[in-house]
Amino acid sequence: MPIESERHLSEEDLHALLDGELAPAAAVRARAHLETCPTCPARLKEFESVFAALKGLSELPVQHDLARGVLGQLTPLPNNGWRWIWVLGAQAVAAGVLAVALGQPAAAEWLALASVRLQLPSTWWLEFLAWPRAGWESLLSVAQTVLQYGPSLISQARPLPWPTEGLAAGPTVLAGLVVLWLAGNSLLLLPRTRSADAPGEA
Amino acid sequence: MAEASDRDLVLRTRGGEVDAFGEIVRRYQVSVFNVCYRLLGERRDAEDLAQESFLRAYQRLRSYDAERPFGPWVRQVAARLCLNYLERPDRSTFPLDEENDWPAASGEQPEARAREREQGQIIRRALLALPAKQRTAVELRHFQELSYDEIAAAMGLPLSDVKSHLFRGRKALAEKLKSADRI
Repeated sequence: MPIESERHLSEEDLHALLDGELAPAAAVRARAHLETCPTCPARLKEFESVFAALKGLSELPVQHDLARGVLGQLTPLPNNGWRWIWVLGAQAVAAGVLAVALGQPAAAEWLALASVRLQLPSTWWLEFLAWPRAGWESLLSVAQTVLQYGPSLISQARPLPWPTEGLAAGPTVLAGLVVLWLAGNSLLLLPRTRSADAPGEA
Repeated sequence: MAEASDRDLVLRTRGGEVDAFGEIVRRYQVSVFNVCYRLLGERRDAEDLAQESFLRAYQRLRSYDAERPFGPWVRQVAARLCLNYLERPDRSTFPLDEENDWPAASGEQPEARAREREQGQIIRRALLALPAKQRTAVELRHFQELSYDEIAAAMGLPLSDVKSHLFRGRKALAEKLKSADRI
């Protein structure tokens, strides 16, 4: 037979009951116990007095209008919509230029020449750069197929030429990419009034 | 003319109308100040932290879901700010301002008013004697009516820790209130 104390409500149960955090079945059992137990109701009442005291605490007025102080420190919120459109646009252009530049034969030649002149120890990255070129060729092949089997007007179109013959100057392309990339990302780094913390932090 | 809803004010603020946020501040400054005052016990600190809470809320306004009520959200921001402030190592003890600035209530009996004021002082002192986390758990549960899970999320603590802080805080409050009754 369990001793009497084992059948009493735990302190956690009492708190959870008052907070409405006990599961429905457990709450029914707890209330049934409280009706018959000689000691648990007094323990519950002790905590109920805390609930009542806290509930009865009045609010105090503010002595100063806080809005004046707050408004003095605010600047209009930055319009993130336009900023993101600009960033995405700049980065899309940069990605397009990158794809074109890396896909052209002249870029591969220029990079190979540069690696020789700079006596770079490894040329694995040249092999890596062959991937976008292969991608371009696949894309052109698909485009040609589509054009050949499309409407008659389109089927007579010539296969797409390499679009990048005029961009053979590798450094110019890379510099342009860097400028575009920085222009896009610098907009993300514009100074704000204050750092925006995560909601969970303060 | 109907009063603008919180949602409208938030959207206007996001659109660049800073003054709309001033209206939000006036709407919630008393409740946010009282969160800070219950947790800090010092009027000047409480006003500073209340102001800071609104500034934080403003900074996060873009990520705030305008369909949710603004008041509970900004009060949670205030509670978290106060908890961080209380846990600063250079933070000194907590004086309790004499509440000599209670609003004049017409028609109220002076004796009843004095009793209410005295009772309020006792409760506030008992609250301020609690460790910061216990006090914050009590604030979030009793004054902001958050669930255990919501308190855990707001305080960034495991549920078991929240229960522990809340239950210990209540127990300590019960003892202090009981001893105050005996005096």
